[in-house]
Amino acid sequence: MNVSVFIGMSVDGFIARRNGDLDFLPEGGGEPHGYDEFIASVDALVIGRKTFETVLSFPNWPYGKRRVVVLSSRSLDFSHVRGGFVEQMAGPPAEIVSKLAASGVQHVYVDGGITIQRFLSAGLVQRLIITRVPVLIGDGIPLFGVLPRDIWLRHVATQHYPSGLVKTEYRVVVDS
Amino acid sequence: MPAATSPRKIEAEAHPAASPRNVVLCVAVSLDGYIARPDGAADWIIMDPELDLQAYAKAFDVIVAGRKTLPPPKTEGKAKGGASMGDIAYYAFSRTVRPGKHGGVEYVNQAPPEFIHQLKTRPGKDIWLFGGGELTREFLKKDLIDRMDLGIMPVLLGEGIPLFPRGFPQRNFTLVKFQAYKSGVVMASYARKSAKPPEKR
Repeated sequence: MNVSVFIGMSVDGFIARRNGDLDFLPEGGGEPHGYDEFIASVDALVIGRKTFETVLSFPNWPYGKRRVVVLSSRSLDFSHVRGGFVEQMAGPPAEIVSKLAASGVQHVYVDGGITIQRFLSAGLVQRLIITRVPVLIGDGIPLFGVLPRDIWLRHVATQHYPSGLVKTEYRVVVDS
Repeated sequence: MPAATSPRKIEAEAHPAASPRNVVLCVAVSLDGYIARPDGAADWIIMDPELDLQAYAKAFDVIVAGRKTLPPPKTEGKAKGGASMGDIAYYAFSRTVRPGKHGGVEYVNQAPPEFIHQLKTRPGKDIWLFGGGELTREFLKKDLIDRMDLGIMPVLLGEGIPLFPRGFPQRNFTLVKFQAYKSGVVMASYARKSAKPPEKR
């Protein structure tokens, strides 16, 4: 089973402003930069409580019919989720990955700063697709956090787009 | 160094055709935004043989850095207002070290805007800002960075000395150039976003 990260960040490494605003991203998310193709290859999303709350404030549930797992040890209110498939799980990343693999999931998309950091730390991410927005915002919610050791990456591809976005795909190098 | 008195300023403004000296932040940085490990180690930096730093350095005649950033360069060649590495004058900003040349480095304690303004009133090549993070933040606070050429290493360190410590206002850039190398290093070059079209490299 593969676990991927697909996320945008400012050049100084923030995925949102402190208050969750995404205004520094190009309008409408920028020109298509492969997200649709990527999401089509995903069987399940794993997000944290904060991301879930952010997404609830969107006009429409953004994940369509895709299976969404929200990680939280608190009980969550799913009553406002319209037209989506959402469930809750708790436990360390490795357990979540096992449960999903056991249910036949082949490609997991991990989203949200804290969740991405936890899965990266646990060595459970295989693919990192980072889209860099040409701005330094000075403060915000960081994408990356503390790690137990260096994580080396193998560069797969980099593309740039007219709005100045630079998208780089990396594979995580597994220590033998 | 002469004070920034009016005659010099008028002279500079009378020659608007002089090509502008750009302040370029050029550093190696981890994917998670560090320029060194907490102990200063740079073992994770890939010296990519495809990246010709000597050729790159030809565009500069001044390097500026914070005091903690670089060891003193070897002093060879004449000092043209700075300790020289060949034709590049090297200045270290410090509020604590006595200004002037010591140990092969020219220390300055002027505020960056003043110092950069004085440099820019004289013709010359581009100005290389070599970091560290604190000096970079000072430059960003005063909007002194014209371009960033970032060598992004394919590694996450998890901790270290940040390139962009918090505490500067938002600065917008446009992507000028990028290149991915076989080593996994991605060079991304950004120019300050302004009303004027960016100069072509």
